[in-house]
Amino acid sequence: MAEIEIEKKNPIWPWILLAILVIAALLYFFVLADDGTDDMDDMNTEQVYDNNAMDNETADYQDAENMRYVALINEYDTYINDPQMGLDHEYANGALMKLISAVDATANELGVDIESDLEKARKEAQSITEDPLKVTHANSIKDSGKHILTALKTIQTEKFPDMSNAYSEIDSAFSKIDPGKETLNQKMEVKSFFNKVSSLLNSMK
Amino acid sequence: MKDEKNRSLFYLDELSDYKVKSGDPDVRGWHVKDKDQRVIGKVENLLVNKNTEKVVYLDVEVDPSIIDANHKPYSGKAQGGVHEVMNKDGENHLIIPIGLVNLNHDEEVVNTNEITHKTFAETKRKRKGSTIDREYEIIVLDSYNRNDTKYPEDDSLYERDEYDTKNYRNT
Repeated sequence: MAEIEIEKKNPIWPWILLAILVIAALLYFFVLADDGTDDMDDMNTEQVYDNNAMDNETADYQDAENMRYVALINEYDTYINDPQMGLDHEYANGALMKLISAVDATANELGVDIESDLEKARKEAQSITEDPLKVTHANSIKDSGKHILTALKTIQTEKFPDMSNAYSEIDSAFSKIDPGKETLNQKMEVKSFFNKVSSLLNSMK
Repeated sequence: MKDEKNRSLFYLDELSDYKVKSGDPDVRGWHVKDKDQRVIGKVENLLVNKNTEKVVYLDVEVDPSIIDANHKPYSGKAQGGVHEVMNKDGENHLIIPIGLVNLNHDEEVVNTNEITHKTFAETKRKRKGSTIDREYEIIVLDSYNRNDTKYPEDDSLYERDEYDTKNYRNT
């Protein structure tokens, strides 16, 4: 037994809505996929950007390296001109170490090999802290300074031949330091030496 | 006669938002056979009462054998001299009240176990898709029943046995 009845069709709008949603989902998917591609592009771009950034960083690093010797020279200047520092052995030792670093960086920047001289200068400067007696006399400055002067002469001769006068002034100032006298008793000579070196290094910037 | 606005009988395909209820047979396309198992046509459409949401008539495109029989349509009123009803060219559809058929689901055949080929041939036909009005309904019922029944003017007509689906019989 069967009765033939009719019924209202299911409203079509849910299907339309579903179709729209499916289409929207597909569009979203493809747009997302495109976005993914874009992202890839962006990533590539970013990578390029990063590379540029890296290049920039490298350049910055190079610049930083280039500027390092300038900074060390400035640091040396600041140190020797610091009014808070007394012209005692500690001051002399600090000044020598900073001077060695500044000369080393300058030589590296200019491509001059003075490492052996500076190595000797460092050893002499380090010995100041190991031998308390040495720190009381200017011989510590003389022992270390002569190697520094050798290095400076090399730089000046190779890269700044027109600065021979400036070097001569350093040499002259250096010769006035008496290794047998206490540093405190020849403040002017020591300070003059450090200043002359500072002047030359600043001329090499 | 009901006007267009108040009519309750519709071809199912007029009601785009309706369909045959799920689980009920959609007999469109099924062959219709007379009591002698002769094919008298094919169900082309369903006439439904929109108020009760039930199929009331099968709209049948008749077999050429019905037309070729060239019988004069039966009409009780015509016989009474009120007016003559004749089948014209192109009128090849007739309706069968749902209560007068039973369904062979296996063979997808609509059987009319109480109506002969001759009766169908003598039934007034309409053109495909013609509006079915009460006058035609009465003419058709008169043709199938061949008695002097006075049919109600309102929808209580569809409470008669000719529309009662308990008359379905599976064959």
